[in-house]
Amino acid sequence: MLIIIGVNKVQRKILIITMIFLLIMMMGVFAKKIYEDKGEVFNKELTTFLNDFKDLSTKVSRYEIKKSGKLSISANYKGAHGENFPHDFEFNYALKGNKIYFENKDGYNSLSLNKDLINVLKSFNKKIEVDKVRASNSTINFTNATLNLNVEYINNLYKTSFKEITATVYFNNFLSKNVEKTVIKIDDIVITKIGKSYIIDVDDYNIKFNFNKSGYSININDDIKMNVFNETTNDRYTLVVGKYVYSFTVREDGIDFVASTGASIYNSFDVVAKYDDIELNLNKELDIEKNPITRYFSEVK
Amino acid sequence: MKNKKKTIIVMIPIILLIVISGLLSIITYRETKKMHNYFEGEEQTAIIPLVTNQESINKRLDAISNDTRYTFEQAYVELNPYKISPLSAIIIYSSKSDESVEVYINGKKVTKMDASKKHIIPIYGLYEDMENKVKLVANNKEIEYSIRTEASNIAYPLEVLEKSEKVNNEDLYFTVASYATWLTGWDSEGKLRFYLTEDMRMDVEWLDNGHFIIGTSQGQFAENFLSFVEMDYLGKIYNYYTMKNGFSFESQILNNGNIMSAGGVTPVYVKEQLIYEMNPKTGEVVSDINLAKIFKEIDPEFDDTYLGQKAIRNGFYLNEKNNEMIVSFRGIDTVFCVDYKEKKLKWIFTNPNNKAFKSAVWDQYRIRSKKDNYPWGQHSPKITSEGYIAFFNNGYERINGFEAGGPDEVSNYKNNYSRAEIYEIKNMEAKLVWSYDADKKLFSHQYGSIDVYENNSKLVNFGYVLDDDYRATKGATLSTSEKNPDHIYSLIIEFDKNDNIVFKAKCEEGKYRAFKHNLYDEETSNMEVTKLNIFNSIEADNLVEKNTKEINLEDTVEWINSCDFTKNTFKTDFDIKENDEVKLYFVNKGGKINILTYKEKDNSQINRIFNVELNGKYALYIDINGTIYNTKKTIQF
Repeated sequence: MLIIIGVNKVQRKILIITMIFLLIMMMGVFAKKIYEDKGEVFNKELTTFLNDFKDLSTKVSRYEIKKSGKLSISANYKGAHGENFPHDFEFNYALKGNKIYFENKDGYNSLSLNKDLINVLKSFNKKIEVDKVRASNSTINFTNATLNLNVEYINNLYKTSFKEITATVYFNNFLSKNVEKTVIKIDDIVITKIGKSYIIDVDDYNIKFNFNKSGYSININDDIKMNVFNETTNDRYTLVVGKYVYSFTVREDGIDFVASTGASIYNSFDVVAKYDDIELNLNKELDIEKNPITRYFSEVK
Repeated sequence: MKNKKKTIIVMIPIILLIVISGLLSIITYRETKKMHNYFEGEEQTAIIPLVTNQESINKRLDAISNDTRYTFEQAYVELNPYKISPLSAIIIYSSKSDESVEVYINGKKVTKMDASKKHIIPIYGLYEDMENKVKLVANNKEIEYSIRTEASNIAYPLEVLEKSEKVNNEDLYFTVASYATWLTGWDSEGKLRFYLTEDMRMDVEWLDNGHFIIGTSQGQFAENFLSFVEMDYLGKIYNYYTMKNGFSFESQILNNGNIMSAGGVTPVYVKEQLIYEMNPKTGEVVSDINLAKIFKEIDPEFDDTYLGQKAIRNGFYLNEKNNEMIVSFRGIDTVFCVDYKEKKLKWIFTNPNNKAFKSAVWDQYRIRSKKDNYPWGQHSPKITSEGYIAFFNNGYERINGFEAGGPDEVSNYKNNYSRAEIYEIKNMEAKLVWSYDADKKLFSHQYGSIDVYENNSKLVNFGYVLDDDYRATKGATLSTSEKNPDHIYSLIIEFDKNDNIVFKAKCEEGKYRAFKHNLYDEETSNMEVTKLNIFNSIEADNLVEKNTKEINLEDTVEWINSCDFTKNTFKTDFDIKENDEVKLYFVNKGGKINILTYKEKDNSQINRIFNVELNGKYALYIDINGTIYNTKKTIQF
């Protein structure tokens, strides 16, 4: 104001125009900075997402589940007043197709496993290469940034037939480079990342993933919940399916499994599986009640 | 100009104040919102709702009792005021002068209430699914009230098979069942006249004031409980006792009014069996006897597992005349006698081949008997007025039973039978002086009881009789019979003093124990509705204090397993391993965190009882090996 007061009309006009011009220049530089920052954040966010997925695959496939071995079972029979009476059993087991077979000197029986679950677990064994996932075209603006991902690479890796995969990062506002959320669309599947949480919406399923310092957790429609701890020498899983509770400890040499939900005559059920190359005879099929595992699962409805 | 300057000088600090206040408000709001987020979810009390719910009911009924609008002619009548005893009711009114009231229920006089101006009358023993008529008579006036009850739909009714005219029809047959019906009371016609809708068990002992004590089920592990209550037939709790030694199976009311109970050195997760005497006015333990210690002093090699939970110490009885106490260790088929004062063993009554007592050190204590007249998986030991030993002999060698890996198929037990027995123990010999074995036809491998009354009448309960069809079924097992009551029944038999059967009833549900008792005395006091005492003799745990700035609660994981919490118990279906460290965090709205170490790392004791003494509202978090879980529970201490 003082500067303008000391000059004449023309000089004043020139000063004002110069100031406006400088202001426009600064805004332009500022806008460019914001744009570039958002671009950077977008790349970072995308890389984080892909690395998280890679990390998850690594965690899930950390230990290979072997197809045969020995089982030591402790069936905790329920006493009259709820006390535990462990009875011990030994079986050999083998995974064939969608079934798991149990055999001892008396004979064998089997349980069917969920096919979809097996396929999902198998898919985590595949190693994703982050750099190959990116495609070339991306669009960045002030409210969001979008990129098409390499759908051919994904389809080749997972034997899928998706048509399009896009990744969009939404910023908090026009000026902010803070990310409100990241959305990955794989045809009808929508994956939303907010902070460290992922929400996957596909068909009637709403699946939430959360990473934490000791592992991760999964929630499917609030019906199936799982917490996973990645410890130094093993992974611990706690799985709650409705009213049924299962715990797994997965190690290099085997798996411990505890079914904590009481069945009719069991308080709980402990299985220790040790991997080994074993061929089952499968000569004589036994009554379901002869095997405490199949008996437990048939009674725990 | 000068004025302008003055204005600026005054305005600047005001503006600064407004800005700082604004900033502080924003910070406070954020912190409050953050703390508020910790308190989302389910609210519960630290003491079980069975007890805390009664406080508001007591208050309400007390207010009603002070409301003089309720008169003899227009009394306050409420069915099931304590919400857990559907065949009970309360009638409340005031009178101008002291008057006593005679109470008639469905045409029968049941009691006379003490004279008072404030009338709080308990109504017990209503019939289900009926318009019950309750008549009050006072000062030559009478009034009748109608109380409509709902059908109980009780899962397992009692079927009366035999009834003599000699039976006392005023008393009810009370039974305790773990499977479905818990505590119920039946008249001699087999009609249900009392039941609780809460899981409360195992033993029931009556006090002189007409109330009874019974266990509450929170924190239960196997047959071991933590607490019991003094209660009336309305389900009103007068005293709630949480005991540092726990409580299981058995109590006895002593002549001095104290309560003797069985538990452990540590409550619920019992490693050493202990029986204690408690002063019910203070809830404090005044004396005790460590049974495990007595056994180990005699035989240091004695198997420790048989001195803890595996003993299945399902009964005891103290003879107050000579301080001799008999105890039943069902898990090792043994009834033994100790001197409660001297803390010394007097004798053991067990079969000579019992592997638990193979050492010769036990020889001097052995009671000799004939044939198989020894305890076999027995229940409910008693000392009769003649000094005899009575117990229900299951006829099942429990120490080698299917529970311990022994034979499970019922065909292995075709010659086994259960019976009620009374022995005279004299000069280290047992002489069978009375027994009832139902012609050796009944085999009840678990449950069962016997009561012997002053006049020598008896009440026997064959608690878990295997159906004849089931016993004949190929491949039928004892373990399967415990799944549900499909293949069993219970039989309650009452004998008069001359051993004539005067009552027999059957139920398709297994009955742990049966008792006989009245509902009313000839005279009854008006109820003290405000009385509710809470006693806790467990030592308070040390809590470590931290705050939310030291411990980050922002990135917690959802607790997906079950979480049953009271100030003394924590139960979860999370598989806690020996090498886990488990802590419970109690977070208040001020951001203070009180930490209880529930389990230390590498401690083989997975579960324990504790005592958290806090006041106020706290959000509950669980820390497992450094990962913090949000239970979404708020606990009101």
